[in-house]
Amino acid sequence: MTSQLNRLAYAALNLRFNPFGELSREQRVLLAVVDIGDLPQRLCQPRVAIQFLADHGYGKSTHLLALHAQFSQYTYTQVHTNVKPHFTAQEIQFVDSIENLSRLQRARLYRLSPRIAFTTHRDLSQELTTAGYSVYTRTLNQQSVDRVQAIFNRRIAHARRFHDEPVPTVTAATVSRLIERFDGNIRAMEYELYEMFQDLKAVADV
Amino acid sequence: MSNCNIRVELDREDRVYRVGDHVKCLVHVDVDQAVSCDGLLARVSWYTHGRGNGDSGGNREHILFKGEWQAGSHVYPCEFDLDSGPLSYHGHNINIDWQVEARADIPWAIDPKDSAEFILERGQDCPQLYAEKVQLDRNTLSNMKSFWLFLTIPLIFSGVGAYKVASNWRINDIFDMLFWIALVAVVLTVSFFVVRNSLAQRKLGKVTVSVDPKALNPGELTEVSVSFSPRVMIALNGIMAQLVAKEVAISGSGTNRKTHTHTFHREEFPLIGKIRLEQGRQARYQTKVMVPKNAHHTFIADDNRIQWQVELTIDVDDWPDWRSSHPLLVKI
Repeated sequence: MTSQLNRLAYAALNLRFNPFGELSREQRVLLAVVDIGDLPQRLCQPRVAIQFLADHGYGKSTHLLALHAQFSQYTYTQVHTNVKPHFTAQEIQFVDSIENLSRLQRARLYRLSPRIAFTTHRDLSQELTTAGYSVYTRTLNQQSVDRVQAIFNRRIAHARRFHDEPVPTVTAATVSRLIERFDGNIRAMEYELYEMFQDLKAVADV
Repeated sequence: MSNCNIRVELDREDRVYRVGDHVKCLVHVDVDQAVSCDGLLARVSWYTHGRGNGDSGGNREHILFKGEWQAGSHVYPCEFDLDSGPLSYHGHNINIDWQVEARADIPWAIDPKDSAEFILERGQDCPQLYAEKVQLDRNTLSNMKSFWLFLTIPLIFSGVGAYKVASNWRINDIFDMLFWIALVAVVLTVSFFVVRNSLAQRKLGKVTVSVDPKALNPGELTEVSVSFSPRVMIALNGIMAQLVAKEVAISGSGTNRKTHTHTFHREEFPLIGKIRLEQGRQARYQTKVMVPKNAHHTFIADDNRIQWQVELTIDVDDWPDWRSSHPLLVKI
């Protein structure tokens, strides 16, 4: 590292920012390590619904964002609690946190949407089938050490300052320990890693 | 497809600037074949990174070139005035940095871009405050929100409890009982915080606090004074002012929204130690609180805040304490 730059943020780690801080939506799409397989093809079929089903922190939104990147001409709507979003009729709807809509609002959304992809904590297969959809459910509850390590080290690479100098890496042993401790919740693991990187004084394996 | 690379080079190797300086930079463009450019833009801006959602601002930009680039290297100088904050800050939850960013708008291609961050420090003469009025107003708003939150929660729980009793509800099992014990504990705790100052004032009388000035520079003093006339004879364990600085960062949105708070400065300034006070006799105590010389200024953005406040505690012996919080505006 050029010693003259040692006052820049995280200069001692050869990073521009803490890799485990909050990312923008664009960064999350760029850094997504997800396998959406044939879901883009499935989403082109008539009257189809794709649901990403999991608890908080398992990558539902990241999967939906990765799928949306293939259909970026359509609107991506984040639904917040107690906020009533306005949906317009379009060929494909992308809806993050659909369970925040009431049953009536969801029924209205289904009428407007020939095809839909969304994230949810609750399995909505039954009401989707009733609404005439063919339903594909991707349940996200298993995290392999390899995949999680790839996610973390990709974030570190994105924060790298100089490409010809080393950066800290997260080891498989640490990932394994974190998966066990946080039961696969990636967001909780990232909170922990944020603190670990704040405490790092020099480039090292974490 | 042509290959176009952009690199931003700043004029100072250590990349450290002061308010009032100019940042001069060179934007290097290398293209391997002729290419059309709808605009080469250079922009200076601040941005946050860390626990919270990113905030940014202070954008100023120049269009450096528009037209056809021939194959080869091209260099464009540009310059920006650094006449206001925020200053750079590297904390726990929040970091504030500045950058010069260059981006070329190439038709039918991914726009090449590069950026170089730099440090902005306090200058000898900082003529502009950083959004002074907004900061004080927001702090006041935040205090009002807390008050209504504390008032609403116990009312809701009390309402639910009253309904259950009125509808002849019975405790069915141990889990129901534990739930209601926890609920009552929460209601009592929250209620205590709501009425704490009212209880304290039953003995202290009306308490008046003054913090002046509320806006000050690092290294300056503010006078904190408190006055009251006790309604009864009371014993105090002391009166203490604390200067507190916090980083408050908000991440996520909707159900994932989370507030991360980190206190990075807490310093005590006693007004008085143990004392007994006569009924009806006017009591007035004061102290001077100094903001550290190296204090970072108050910073308020949508999802990231660095805030300073004076917290005052009147510690009444064997009785609830009286507490209040008073935001300060630390200038650049």
